[in-house]
Amino acid sequence: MKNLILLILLGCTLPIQLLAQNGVVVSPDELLNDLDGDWRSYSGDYSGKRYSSLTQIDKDTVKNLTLAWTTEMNFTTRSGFDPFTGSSNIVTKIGGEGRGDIDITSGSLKGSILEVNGILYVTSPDHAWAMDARDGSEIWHYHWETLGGTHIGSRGSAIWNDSLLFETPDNFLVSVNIHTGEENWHAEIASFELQYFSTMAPIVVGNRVIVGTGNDLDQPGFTQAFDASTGELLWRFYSVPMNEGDPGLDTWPSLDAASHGGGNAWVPGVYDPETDLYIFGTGNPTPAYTGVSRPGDNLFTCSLVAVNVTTGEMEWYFQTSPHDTHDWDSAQTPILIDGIIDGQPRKLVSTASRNGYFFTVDRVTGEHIATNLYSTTANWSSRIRENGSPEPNPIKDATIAGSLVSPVEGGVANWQPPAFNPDTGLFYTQENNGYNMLYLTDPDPRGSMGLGGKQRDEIGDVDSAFQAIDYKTGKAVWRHEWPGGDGVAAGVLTTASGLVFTGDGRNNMVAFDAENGDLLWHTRIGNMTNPPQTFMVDDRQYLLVAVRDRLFSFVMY
Amino acid sequence: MRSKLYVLGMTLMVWVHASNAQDIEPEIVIANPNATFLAQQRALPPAEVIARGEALYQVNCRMCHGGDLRGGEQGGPNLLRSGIVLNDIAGEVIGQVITEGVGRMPSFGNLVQNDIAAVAGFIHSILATAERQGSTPPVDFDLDILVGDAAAGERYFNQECSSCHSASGDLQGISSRIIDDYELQNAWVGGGLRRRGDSSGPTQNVIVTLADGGRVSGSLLRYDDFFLSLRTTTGGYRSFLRNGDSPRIEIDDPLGRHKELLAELTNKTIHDVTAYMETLK
Ligand code: HEC
Ligand code: HEC
Repeated sequence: MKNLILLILLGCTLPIQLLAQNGVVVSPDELLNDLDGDWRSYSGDYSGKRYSSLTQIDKDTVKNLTLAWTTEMNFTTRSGFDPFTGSSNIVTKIGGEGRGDIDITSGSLKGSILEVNGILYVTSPDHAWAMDARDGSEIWHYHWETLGGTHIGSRGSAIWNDSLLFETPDNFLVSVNIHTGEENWHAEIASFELQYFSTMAPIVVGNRVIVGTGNDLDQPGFTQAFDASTGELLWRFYSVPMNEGDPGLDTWPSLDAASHGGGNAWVPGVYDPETDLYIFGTGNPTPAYTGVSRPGDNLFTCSLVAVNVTTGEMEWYFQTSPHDTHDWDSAQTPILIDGIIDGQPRKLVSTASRNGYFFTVDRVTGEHIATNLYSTTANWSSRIRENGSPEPNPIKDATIAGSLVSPVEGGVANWQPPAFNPDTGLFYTQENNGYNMLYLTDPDPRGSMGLGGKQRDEIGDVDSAFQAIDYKTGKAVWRHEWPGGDGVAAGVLTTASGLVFTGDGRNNMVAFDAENGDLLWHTRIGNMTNPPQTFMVDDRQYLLVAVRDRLFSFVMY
Repeated sequence: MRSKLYVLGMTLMVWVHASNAQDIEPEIVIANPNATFLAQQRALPPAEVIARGEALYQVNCRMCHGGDLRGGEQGGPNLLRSGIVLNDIAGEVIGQVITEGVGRMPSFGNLVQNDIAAVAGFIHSILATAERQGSTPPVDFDLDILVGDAAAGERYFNQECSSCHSASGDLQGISSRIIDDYELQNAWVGGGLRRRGDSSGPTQNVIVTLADGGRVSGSLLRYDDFFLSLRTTTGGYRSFLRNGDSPRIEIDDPLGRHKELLAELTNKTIHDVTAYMETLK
């Protein structure tokens, strides 16, 4: 009986599914488009601006936004239509190298969702879904049986022609058929034995997929390119020196320290087609809090790095945190800006760093343009070096008796992406302020490992804010202080209609006037866990955001 | 991807001696499938094997790699973050280094296969004490954070704190109430707020002035840009939608000075005042 219904059902859906099983969804060429009606890659386009050309939702109409649908993600492995429970005809596609006995559901959606032609592609650790953007219903579900490990989040997926690519926490790059969720191939991108874990949304450039990984146990960070059709490794760029004679080795006490020095690149970067450069931020040096074992600037950790996508060679770097000792990586997604400096048109890249400093550099040469502190509390630097890098103040290192340090471990900014609006010339970011008492608990001169060797207590409660920063100087043009203390972590979206969407850390999604910071709209749906996004389906502009394992989709009727 | 044979079972404790040849994969016994990383999921060899491994380590390896495996006086690297150790399951990778030597490390012809498996088992047993992925085996140092000058702390207190606090009044016996030195220091630096978003702080009084001039006051419950709620002095609940400056609100934050202090305090002052607070028993 059950099977009969299943057969009838299959009979009905099969021809349609077969029809839909081929066809390019996003070609590599289309990835060169600016962010318009579809959201094709992590930042919507290569620039990292998160600036949508859509204008249906504008300063006047934003107040008419209303809920189109909301749905909770379904993590359950399903085997098809069940007439007794009435569950859907979804058959979960299973992959993975694990034994199937580990279930680490980390519910929150913490990455970008892709939208193309009315279909959403959603990921969370060990899961991927295709969903209908019109009503949130599920089209297919893929589940990866994990080897285990840190399941902190998935930052999203990438599309290459008709495949969807994403990373798993136990370090595989998975390619599935974008129409069916059927696995094409998977490739190991880092060693789980070495305690790497992978969260990054891959970035497709041409026929290459760029991936990064994370690690909390002193293993070297690297960025790699794989062949998008086969999963074959094309190049690997290490963030730290791995061999005698490697550049940067003189900023470490030994090769052993350098090659265990971290610098993991775990947040997607941006791509400049004109120079073929992939520009991204590298992670903090390790051991994170006990810098005693690694005197020196520790290149190329906590840096903006530009790598040639064809060769995997570094073209330039700019260090945003020399010798970090607070786990403030510089992995934040930077933004490509075509700007004017001293009357001259310049190709720039800007980043609002976790350490509380905003930087603009020339994206062709790496030449420094501007550095400015964008936090009212960050207190760890004694001065700005001539080259624009902040000098760390050693008295803010962890000490046995305690050091009063700002910002907190999560930083003034984190992976939650900022935005840039070319019409206002403003860079939009959260300013997450706070203080720690930071105690050294492992005074061994050999240093600790990973994030160990310290006790870190967040104390007090200071005000956090949202800023609109002039990329030329790093100074705020407007700044909105969030009332009532407590921190804030939320990504940003801006539009050609002059809006800025973000979260207020007090359970509201809000819309600002991009020019002056006036609050125009809000909705209290809970603190967003992924950045807000927008796209067009059936001539209707949608606004999409996740709160933990629930998606909220807004429109105007 | 190397294929590995898994044997599952919480109670099943099979230990298969590994070959030290890299091409032969040891059988992996999963003792705890819920542990986060592989080295922790795997079963360790029996205690007597680990004990023998420890004894062999002390004699043969300790001088170079340290009693805690984090590197020793004679120049051996930290084994707890070594790729060779992390990639090893039962001595098959470590064994190669031991029998062949590497770089400045000599080879050990005296150690046979059983010895190697025992030394590897000991090394893995230390790694397995890490609490979670990316953390280190626990360390226990006896550290004293009371390094400040209590007399200097008292002088500072009398100047900067005595307008609101007194050693014989509200802060009398504070170090008996808050026994842990770290917590005592955190408590005063944060004005009692142990973490951000802590709602246990002192009552903030708020006055709301309505459009018609009417005023409602009470203790603040919650507010953001769009909303404010309060408890009136008679225990009633009131809430208001906010739109810019309407209605007008005035909030008196008793911890305002403590927030300013966060930007002013030096580590030395903090340690001095904590040493003084410690005398308030
Ligand atoms: C005389 C000092 C010395 C002794 C004794 C010694 N080692 Fe080593 N060991 C070293 C040095 C130095 C290295 C680094 C070699 C290199 O890469 O140049 C090393 C490397 C290693 C490595 C590889 C680390 C890595 O990731 O590269 C392992 C594993 C290791 N030793 C285990 C042992 C064990 C087990 C013993 C005892 C049976 C031992 N060692 C005894 C000096 C020593
Ligand atoms: C302007 C007034 C003001 C000043 C000045 C001030 N405090 Fe406070 N402090 C407060 C308030 C209000 C509280 C919160 C009391 C409560 O929770 O009931 C507080 C809390 C504390 C607490 C926590 C008490 C407990 O029982 O947990 C300590 C300790 C403390 N302050 C020490 C200091 C020290 C030391 C200074 C000077 C460096 C100082 N304060 C300066 C107002 C002040």
